[in-house]
Amino acid sequence: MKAKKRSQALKTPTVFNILIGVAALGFITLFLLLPLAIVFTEAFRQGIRVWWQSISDPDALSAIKLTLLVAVITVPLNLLFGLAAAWALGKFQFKGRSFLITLIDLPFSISPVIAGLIFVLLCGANGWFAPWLDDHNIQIIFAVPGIVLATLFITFPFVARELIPLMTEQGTDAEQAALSLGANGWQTFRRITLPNIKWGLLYGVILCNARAMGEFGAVSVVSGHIRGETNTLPLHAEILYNEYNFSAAFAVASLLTFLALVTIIVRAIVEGKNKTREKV
Amino acid sequence: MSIELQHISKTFNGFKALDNVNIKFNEGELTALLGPSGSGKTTLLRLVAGLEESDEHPDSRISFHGEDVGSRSVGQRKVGFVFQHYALFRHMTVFENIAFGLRVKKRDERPSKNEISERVFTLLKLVQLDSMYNRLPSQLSGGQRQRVALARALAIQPKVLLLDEPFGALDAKVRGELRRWLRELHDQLHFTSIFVTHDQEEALEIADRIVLTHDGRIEQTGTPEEVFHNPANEFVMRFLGEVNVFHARVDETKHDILPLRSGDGSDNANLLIRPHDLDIHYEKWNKKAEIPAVVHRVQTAGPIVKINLWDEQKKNILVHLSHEEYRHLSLKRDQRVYLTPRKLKIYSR
Repeated sequence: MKAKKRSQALKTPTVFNILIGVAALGFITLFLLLPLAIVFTEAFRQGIRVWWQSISDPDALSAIKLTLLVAVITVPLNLLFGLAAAWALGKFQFKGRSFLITLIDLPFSISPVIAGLIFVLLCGANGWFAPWLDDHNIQIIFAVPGIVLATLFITFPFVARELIPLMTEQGTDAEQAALSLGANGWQTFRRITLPNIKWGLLYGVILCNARAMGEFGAVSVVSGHIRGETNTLPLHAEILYNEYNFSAAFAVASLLTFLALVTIIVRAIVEGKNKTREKV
Repeated sequence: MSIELQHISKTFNGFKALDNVNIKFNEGELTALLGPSGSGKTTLLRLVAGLEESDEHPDSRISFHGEDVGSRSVGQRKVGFVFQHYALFRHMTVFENIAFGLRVKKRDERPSKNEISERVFTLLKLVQLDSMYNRLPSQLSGGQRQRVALARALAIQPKVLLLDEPFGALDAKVRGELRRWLRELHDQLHFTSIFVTHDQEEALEIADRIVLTHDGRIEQTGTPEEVFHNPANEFVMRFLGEVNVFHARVDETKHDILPLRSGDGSDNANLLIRPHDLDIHYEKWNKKAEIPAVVHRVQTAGPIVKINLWDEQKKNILVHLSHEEYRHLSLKRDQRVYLTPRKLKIYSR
């Protein structure tokens, strides 16, 4: 019935329908495909050797390393935090639950620059924690720890937001059944909860990783832009661009764009898996 | 294993789901917890399983075979629990589902791979699903899922089997077959079983004993015969099948009962008559408990004939007759008749 109705709707090609199609295609080309093409043409405009030199430059390499380091630290941590938060909020009912769910969205609703400033105000030279940090000789702002903290904050919601609706919908029946069959808490989590959320979890991790590597605003505020030390890939691209070194800037940008493309492809695969899983 | 609950209360956010309940479930019996939704029957079952904790009270106690199990977790109580919506592990095959309880045992108690496989297939045969071992739950029908849930609960060899609305989500035909099958299984395996239901027919058909719950309290406990023929109060009588309710005045001094057309203020009791306990006559017999009525609708499709009559206030009265009795009477629509009760119950208000 439904299929029939749909095909009937499709069978009425009006001028209106065609116009919508053209507009959508035009929009996608103009705002998505064109910039993508520009990034890659600019990156390779002076040949692959220049591209290679730009990204194998010591400063670029250090930016790549730092970006990877930040992702390696923040993604697993946010996987754990997100999982714990989603478990608590998705599987249990308690007072203040909806408030906490809203709170998780805070990093999304706040401007990244403000997020960076918060850390500067807390840990910077005149910040709240400055005396204690000075006493213990710890530097956070304009150093790697600050970049990690800012990225942790910004990417926190991805895993949790992906999992909360999923876990809420799945309920606690299966877990209760496992417990009644004698499983302990860890066995219940490993064998029952985790397999049912694994695709959602992976999806959240992919998005979290993409943002961790691509975050600009918050990281820009806390990093201090020290070349070869506290520059991540996005910051490095910006510096090169500001120095009118366009081909190098676009070479670095092409790396990030490539990462984005990989993310989209993996995401599509995972999403597909997720759907077939649900159908079975 | 017998199960005893003493002074058990349970409150959810100020709502009293159970109010000082005392009850004993005898060893080897199949007991039905019967009541309308919200009466506390599922809460009672979950308390026995250890899935809920009762309110703190110095005298409250849940014991299995005389042993206090209040401090034991659901896993430690070793009860087989069958959930209302089956709660099967949807990412596991039927085999894996049933094997779960054996696989999560501590290493020194865990059976070997072969033993597990043997036990699972024995259970699969018992629930008549041996050819389905490799299916996922989503590839099974409702009745099949229910049987997998049952086999999974039985895998840990519980002495107590608890079932929450076991047939609630099935269609009428499968439900009938499955409940007779459950009764046979219970007789075969000799455990203490408790099942929750809101379907009085189901409870009357397969239970050894029925516990009627209402508003967090137990209204009556007894065999199906006892509760059906001697309902302790109006709620029980109304809940266990269809019933006609009339207003009446009980005169203590004259030992007299007067059925009244409607509440004229002088009524002080309710008179309850089951549809099959009413006789239909054409003529007035001048008996005291005689109710004039008009035939409104007759439904002959089914094992009995259901006749809907209107009294003088156009209130519905239901009479059940056998097909034979109905043929004798040859009733017509709008025909005037008189009803006399063969059996009635009076509950003062």
